[in-house]
Amino acid sequence: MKKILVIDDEQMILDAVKVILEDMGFQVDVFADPLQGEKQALSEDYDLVLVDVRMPGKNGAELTESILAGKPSVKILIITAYPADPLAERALKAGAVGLLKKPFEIAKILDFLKS
Amino acid sequence: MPKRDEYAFENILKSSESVLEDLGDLDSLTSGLPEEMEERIRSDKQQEELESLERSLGLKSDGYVDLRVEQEGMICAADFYPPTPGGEPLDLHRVEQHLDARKISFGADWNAIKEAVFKCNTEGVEITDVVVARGLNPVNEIPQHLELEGKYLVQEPETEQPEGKIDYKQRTPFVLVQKGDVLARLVPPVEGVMGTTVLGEAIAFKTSKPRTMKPGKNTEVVGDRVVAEVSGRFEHTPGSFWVAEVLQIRDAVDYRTGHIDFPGDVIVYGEVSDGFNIRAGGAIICRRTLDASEVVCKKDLIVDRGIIGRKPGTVRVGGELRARFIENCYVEAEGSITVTTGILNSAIHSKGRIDTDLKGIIVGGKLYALGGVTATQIGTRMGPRTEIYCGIDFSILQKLEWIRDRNMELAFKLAGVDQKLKKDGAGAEKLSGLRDKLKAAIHKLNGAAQSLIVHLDKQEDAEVVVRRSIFPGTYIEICHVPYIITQEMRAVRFVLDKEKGRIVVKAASSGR
Repeated sequence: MKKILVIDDEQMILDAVKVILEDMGFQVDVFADPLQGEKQALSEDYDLVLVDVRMPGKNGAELTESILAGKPSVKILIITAYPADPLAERALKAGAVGLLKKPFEIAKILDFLKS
Repeated sequence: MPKRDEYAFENILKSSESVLEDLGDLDSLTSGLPEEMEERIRSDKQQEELESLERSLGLKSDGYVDLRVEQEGMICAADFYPPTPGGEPLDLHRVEQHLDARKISFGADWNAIKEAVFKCNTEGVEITDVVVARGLNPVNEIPQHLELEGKYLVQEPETEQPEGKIDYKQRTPFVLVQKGDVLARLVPPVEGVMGTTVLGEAIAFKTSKPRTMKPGKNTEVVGDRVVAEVSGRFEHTPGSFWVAEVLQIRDAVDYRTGHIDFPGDVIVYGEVSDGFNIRAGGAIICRRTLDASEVVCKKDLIVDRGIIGRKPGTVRVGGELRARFIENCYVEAEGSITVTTGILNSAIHSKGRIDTDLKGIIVGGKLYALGGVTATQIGTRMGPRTEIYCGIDFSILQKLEWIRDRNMELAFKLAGVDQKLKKDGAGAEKLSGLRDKLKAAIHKLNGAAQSLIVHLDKQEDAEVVVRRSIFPGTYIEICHVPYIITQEMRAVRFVLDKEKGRIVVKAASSGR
């Protein structure tokens, strides 16, 4: 079973995404606290990590940098409302593989899990 | 010999013989009039002169009738004169003699004659202008012919709304027909009937020449009817009628035409005004500017000038789209899109390519092109956000996004139910049932999403080509792989490196 980690400060969205992705047959862990999420990402192996770009405490670009520093092979997708967001751009530079339009894009998730 | 000719012939024969008989032996005329005829002439003349004298001198005279044949033998009119004192009253026998003398042999109205004679004798007054005999008009022969259904010659009534107002946008001067509609009917022939004058002369009937309406293109003769073979615009000239699959609007589409909904191709020579919709089962060709409120065609859309979107305007094209420019517009095209000067602040979707001509720019908005994009310039130094998505079928993405949104709604409801169940457990049974239903719905939607993704063909060789400049603020995605433009780049193309899963930038000239 493929494992997905979702880090987003909006708990409601987090819960909804978990229900939907679990129904699709994935094991899904969710964290509203970016620091806890970061810790989880570094301590466990995930097939895909979804990270919201704008969060209080630690933004998506910083999380991408720190997670990839610890686990360079993990695939990170940045969740953003605006593709041209400078933080999204920074996350891509840091090694994120793609951008998800909020709240998420199932086609991209499946695509990146496959590849 | 035709029947009517036979009849005319007989009539001429009979009447001529009668005249000849009356004249007697004509051979004797060479040596002067026969004695008995001279006598008859003298006697007739004498009688006539005497009657005239009696009348003028107020002498005693009998009642008499004066007959005259009018209207080319179709009417015999009479004036009835009462007798002077001591004179003989008129009687029917004398009238009959007068009629015979004038050769009135057809259509005598004896009721009218009796009435006039009676009144003339009893009241002692002149009764004038009495029609005493009428001829019979011939009935013209009408050959078999086609007659258009009346509704195709009459303007459709105005469309009234319930409150009594007229929706002028719904009015149309175009008569549209559906396949199978009866356009014309075959009228059976009418046989001609000979006429007769009051003198008993035959009148030949004429053959009417009704307007011949030949059924033309896209019509079919079924029994005694002509039906439309296709749906389209009914058109006719004095000699023919047909169903056109092309609707040509010589002027603008506005209050004079109303919305256009046509099963075939539509050509508009004027402008399409704001607020007016065009739907075509074929292509739409617009010779001027298209203020797009709602434009839907199953084939190509060709606009000589530009397309200007009007909220909530949409343009949906079943084939390819060509225009000089597209501005503030939502466009979906099954085929490729080509613009001459540019695409501004628009949401453009194509299952083919989106290309501009050599001076074409793309500024602002979102472009989805399965096959890729070529433009001379993308974005500007001012940096309006321009998003370009290539290599993915937009229609499947739209469906997936719709499923995601519904699933999010269901998941929020599910979270609410779970919270309620945890909190007090009141109505737990009902809530559990609802919970199961919500989860089942999410599962079904997810199943639909997964089956859609199977059909999500990716075109990995799709690329974005920039002839001159691309500016920061532009976002490019090819087959889900992103690229953000952070500095002005010139004459470049963006292609997907499948191995690395990244977009790479190459010189524009090194490919296309």
